[in-house]
Amino acid sequence: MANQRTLRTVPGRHLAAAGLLAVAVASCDYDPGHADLPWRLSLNNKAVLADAGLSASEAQVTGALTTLFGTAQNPRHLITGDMYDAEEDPNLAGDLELSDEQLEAIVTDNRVKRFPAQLELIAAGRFSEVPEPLYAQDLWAKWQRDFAPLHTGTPGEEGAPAVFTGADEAFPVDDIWVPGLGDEATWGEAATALFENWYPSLRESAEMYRAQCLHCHGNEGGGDGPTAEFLEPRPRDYRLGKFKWVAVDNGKRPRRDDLVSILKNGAYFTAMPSFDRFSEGQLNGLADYVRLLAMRGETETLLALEMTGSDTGDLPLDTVQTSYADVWEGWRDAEENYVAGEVDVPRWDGMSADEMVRRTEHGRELFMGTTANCFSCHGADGRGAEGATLPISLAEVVEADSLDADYERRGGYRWVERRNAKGEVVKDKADQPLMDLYRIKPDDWGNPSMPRNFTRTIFRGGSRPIDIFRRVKYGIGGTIMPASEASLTDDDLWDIVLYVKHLANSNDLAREYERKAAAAARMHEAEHGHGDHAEDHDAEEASH
Amino acid sequence: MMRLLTTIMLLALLVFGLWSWVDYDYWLLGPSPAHYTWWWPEEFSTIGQDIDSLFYLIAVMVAVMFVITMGGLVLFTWKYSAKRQDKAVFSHGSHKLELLWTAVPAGLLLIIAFSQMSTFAEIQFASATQDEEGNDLPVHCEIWASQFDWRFRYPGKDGRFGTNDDFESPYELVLPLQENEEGDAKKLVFLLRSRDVLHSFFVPHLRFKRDAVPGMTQRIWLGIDDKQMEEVLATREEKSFDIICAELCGWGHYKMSGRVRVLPQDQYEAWVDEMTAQQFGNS
Repeated sequence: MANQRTLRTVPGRHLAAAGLLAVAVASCDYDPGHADLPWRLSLNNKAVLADAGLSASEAQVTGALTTLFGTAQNPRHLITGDMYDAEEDPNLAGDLELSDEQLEAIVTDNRVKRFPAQLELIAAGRFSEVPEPLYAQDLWAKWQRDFAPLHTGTPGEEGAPAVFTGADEAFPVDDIWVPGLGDEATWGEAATALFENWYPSLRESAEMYRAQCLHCHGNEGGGDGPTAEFLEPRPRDYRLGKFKWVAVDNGKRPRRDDLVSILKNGAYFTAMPSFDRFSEGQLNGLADYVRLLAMRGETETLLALEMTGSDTGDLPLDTVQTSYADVWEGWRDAEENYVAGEVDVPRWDGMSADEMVRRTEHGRELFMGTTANCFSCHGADGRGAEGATLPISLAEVVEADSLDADYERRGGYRWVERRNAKGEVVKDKADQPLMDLYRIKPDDWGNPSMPRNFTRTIFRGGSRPIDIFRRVKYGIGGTIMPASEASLTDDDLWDIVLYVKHLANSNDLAREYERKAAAAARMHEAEHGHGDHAEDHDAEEASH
Repeated sequence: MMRLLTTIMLLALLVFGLWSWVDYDYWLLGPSPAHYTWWWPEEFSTIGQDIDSLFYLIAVMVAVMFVITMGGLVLFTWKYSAKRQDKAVFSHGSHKLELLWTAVPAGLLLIIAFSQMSTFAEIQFASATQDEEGNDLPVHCEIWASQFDWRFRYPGKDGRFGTNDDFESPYELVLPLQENEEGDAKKLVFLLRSRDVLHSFFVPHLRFKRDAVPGMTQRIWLGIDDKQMEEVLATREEKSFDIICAELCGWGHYKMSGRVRVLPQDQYEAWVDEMTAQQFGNS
């Protein structure tokens, strides 16, 4: 037994144990390294520049973009002369045109959802124990800098001023929004106001974006984050400035509320979940940052095109200015593009059965007719791309070469990075094999168009009648779903919506469940002969 | 040694057997909804006490048996690991010992089996969501699980699904406080479904967890103890409670969350009115 090997005799065992322990400790503080990621140019624009032999000039575009939008770590909009004259500063929360209801919701959420722990400690006078909140580094910087006396003493004590002396106008973090407090405000009131009235700066929203959104939407909002490749449908690429489910006229830029609404409700049955767990202020701030990313992407594409179009291959200052102004033009009036209140939603729940049948039938006729032409993509059975046969307008057979040429002409398709067999990074077109296979027309992001299957009762942009109406009337931005023909009246469109809802309702799983339950009940009665429960279910069914 | 082991194990059997019969929480921890918070959050479900009693019975049983078996393992490893040069002993084992460690765990399993039967039936049997005549109770709302989203579909005012006044509530499940004729909490029945893969609907504060299986429609129910809920609500700023997914369902499993909010009947009706107005609104 003398030569028996036990753990005690293994050489280097202490080293191995220490190594394992070090690995375990190190992995506890895992940092994905997103915080320092710089914004890069899109692969598409790089390709455009490379084709024109201008790869060396990439730095010009990058430099211009940095001037206009700052860096990923410190994003901001450049204030141009026009904006300065109009006393407009898109970086200031006070200039963001938030309605009174929104402001109220932001304050309430800050109180209940965002900073309850901090506010509770402030109310109790335990200022030094206030913990640092996530994604609020500017607020925290202000708290530490301006409210430093509170960290050591309590108000009224020696060394701590009893009365708040007013906001420091020279405070450098100028995009924190603290409303004017009177000179008589106490430190406690000022501290409470600081947290309650918090609205995220773009820097804070960028921090949150990197933690919550980057892994799908990518650092530049290109829809090319690490998880994007595994998702169907692909995450949105903001850089075209196009968004699908909005309440504005087709092709116009979305309002902040459109983006916030998708953040709150999610895009159903995609990988975009509801982010309702975050506060109103955080969601509005995220929408602001998404707008900045979209504007940056649009500007980048414009600059690349201007550069390749010019004779010198240079980027003059006035070109940059014009491009920036052009992009702002689209976004500045987004609120005015709002199409709410334009139509009244018919109250179908109070409609008679006859009227309902008549209007649904009319909707079906339009759906199958050549004016509205719904059936040509969504199929006669309303099952869209999932139907028994591929709808006719999707099944256009295109030669692979001409398909490629078509891709090259469009500016906005998406490149993805893949590794080839040798381990080199190569650029590749997203979803190309799928589209080659099915010959499906791509949308503006280069993804295959998948007309909705209405029988699945899933409507990504919302299932309310008005949501579907807007999709029918104004189309879906960036996709092959067009705005409706002018010859169709709103009433006609509502009938189409009603038919679409009918397709969804009549295929609803709950209906099937009801039918099965009713059948089971009938069998039960037939076997046991309990009284005659008149089953009015079928009669009701016929009326829908 | 043998005698010591026998004594300990038989004692464990006796203690847990008794525990499963005695309503222990009163003499051990006192009758308050906050009494279990050393492991779980407070609860306000009508089945919460039963679930907690079973949980702690099994948890303590497992903990004690873990200590006994692991303690034995460590003890014997230590005791016989010395550099002894004894000759090995040939042994057929101990018939008594084998009987003991088969019979005692079997007894413990029987204790678990019998003590959970009535609770299981109360929660899980089809009759749990039926009235006395065997008719299905009306469905309060549908719970749809999908990657990575909880979505609650309400039948609207007509009480039927698949009609135009159905409305969806993403993220937030809103429940009314309702009482039946006897003044007890009314059962709220739900249809639980999944659109893609396995998920698990878990509300820790209601002590409810059930897998959502694709292709299956499950009738589940929740009952809310209003007095207990008031006690719980009084202790917290936020008036809603977590819903989480308790089955690894993909890369975004960690973000698959929702909230439960319970409203008095009149406020609930106002909420339904508001949602119906939104459903037919044009904002």
